[in-house]
Amino acid sequence: MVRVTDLVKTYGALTAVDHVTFSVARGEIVGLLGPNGAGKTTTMRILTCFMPATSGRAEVGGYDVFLQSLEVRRQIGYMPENVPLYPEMRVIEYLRYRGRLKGLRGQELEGRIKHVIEACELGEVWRRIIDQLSKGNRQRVGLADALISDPALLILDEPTIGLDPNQVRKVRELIQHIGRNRTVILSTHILPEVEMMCDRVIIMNQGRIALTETMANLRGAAQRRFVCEVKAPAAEVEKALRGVQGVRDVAVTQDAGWSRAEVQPADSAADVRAALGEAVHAKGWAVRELTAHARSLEDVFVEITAR
Amino acid sequence: MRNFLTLYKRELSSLYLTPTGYVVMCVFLAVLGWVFWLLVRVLNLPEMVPIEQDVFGIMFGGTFFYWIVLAAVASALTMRLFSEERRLGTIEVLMTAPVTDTQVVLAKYVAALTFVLLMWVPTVFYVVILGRYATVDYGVVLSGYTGTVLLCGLLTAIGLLVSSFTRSQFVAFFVSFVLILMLFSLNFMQNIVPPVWRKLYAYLSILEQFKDFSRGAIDSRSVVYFISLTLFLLFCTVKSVESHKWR
Repeated sequence: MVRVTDLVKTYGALTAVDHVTFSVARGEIVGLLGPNGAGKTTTMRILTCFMPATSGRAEVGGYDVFLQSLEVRRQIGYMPENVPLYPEMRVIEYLRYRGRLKGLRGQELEGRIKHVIEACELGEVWRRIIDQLSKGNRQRVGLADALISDPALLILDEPTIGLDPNQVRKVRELIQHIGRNRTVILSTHILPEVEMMCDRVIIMNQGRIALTETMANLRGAAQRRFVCEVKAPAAEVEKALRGVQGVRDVAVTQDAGWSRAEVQPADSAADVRAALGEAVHAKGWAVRELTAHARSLEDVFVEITAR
Repeated sequence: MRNFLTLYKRELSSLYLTPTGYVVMCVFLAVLGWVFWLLVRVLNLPEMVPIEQDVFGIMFGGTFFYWIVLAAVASALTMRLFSEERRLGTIEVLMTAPVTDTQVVLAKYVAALTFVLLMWVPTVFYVVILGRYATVDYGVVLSGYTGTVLLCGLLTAIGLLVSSFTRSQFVAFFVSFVLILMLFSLNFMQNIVPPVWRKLYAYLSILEQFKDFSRGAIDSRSVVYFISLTLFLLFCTVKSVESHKWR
């Protein structure tokens, strides 16, 4: 559905997007992550034909975003960051205007308006003037606009920012529902959201792609570590735990008579808690903690973007 | 065409939904009504030496108010057309919809021009009222309105172009107002420039080109001047809107 090849965007001396290459399959939900200034919004703006790339190529549905811009724009539903709307218009007027602009007419237009009002829960505010709406409702109007033409590709920049927890949950459900037969690219800083919704994650840093990985692979390959806190001298704890089968590395810190050991297993999928417990029990040490920790997307994000 | 109409309707309705449109319309009609009343009163004074020019000949381009009001109206009504889209960020959702830059520019232009021209409609009552009590030269009225339509078209195109350069409405208003005044002043400048430039200044002068319309004549050269300059400015506006893609 989306194919980006060696994309570069420069603003004078600043390179916002630096030789970026990725593709997104039809029906995939992809999370575009990265710290502020990583090039996420610029990449989205190139894909939505708002600005051209300095070099490289981007295609949406087989159409070139620069050479076949209108065809690309017909396939896209886009919600930019901060959801820009016309404040003087009523919600229904705005949706009707946007629907017409995207080629909808008559019964089809009215049907889609009804659908997005329902899907985005705008039933109570559809007659209100946009200027009088809360931030959450404005966000939902922006989402309804992106959805109105039932686009093949949905590009959402921070779709849940400003929503209350109930609204966030509903928007997530909506995006997941859309993602069943539509392609979605979303940018967000809320990492658990990506873990919940996305099939794949692309992490950008300083204009480049730092990581492209499916969530399934990230979860599967997540490096596990175990924490074991016992009342014993640090050197003895380290020696005892290193001797446990399946343990690759042990790092111990001491605090008020308690030793905190961080244990890395040789096999990332292995659970060595039972073996660790037996080793500690054999020594007769008092145990305060024995837990397993999986590396979260946040850990991966921080690790990559802090480099 | 469908996209143009959709954009045009939104632009026109937004002019009627914002206070700027109503304020401009009220000020415009108040000033024009006052000028009309003043002209009728002054020209009817017993001590007034009879002049050849018709009341409408003076009203269309014969007073300082006509030019200032048109410059202010065009600047005020066009100042928000692109600058507000840039300030609000709505330019992003607009330009990522399946519409062309030309459609956007033309829809905004035609909507603003429609609003300006609709403001002139009540002034037809001046002709009707005066026609009941005096002899009106309808040739002057027709050419006056024709010239005014062409002039409003040109000034609206100037305002639209300036609005495409900035995200500040105030800057857009101020720059287009000054630019229009400078175009008006070309008429006076032809007296101080070297003789070789005089013809060019005279040709470019809006006041000079408008003279015939005030006299009841429609010169095709003036019509070509207004239309070609307007089209050139609209072309520049399309390029200006496109230029955000080059930067």
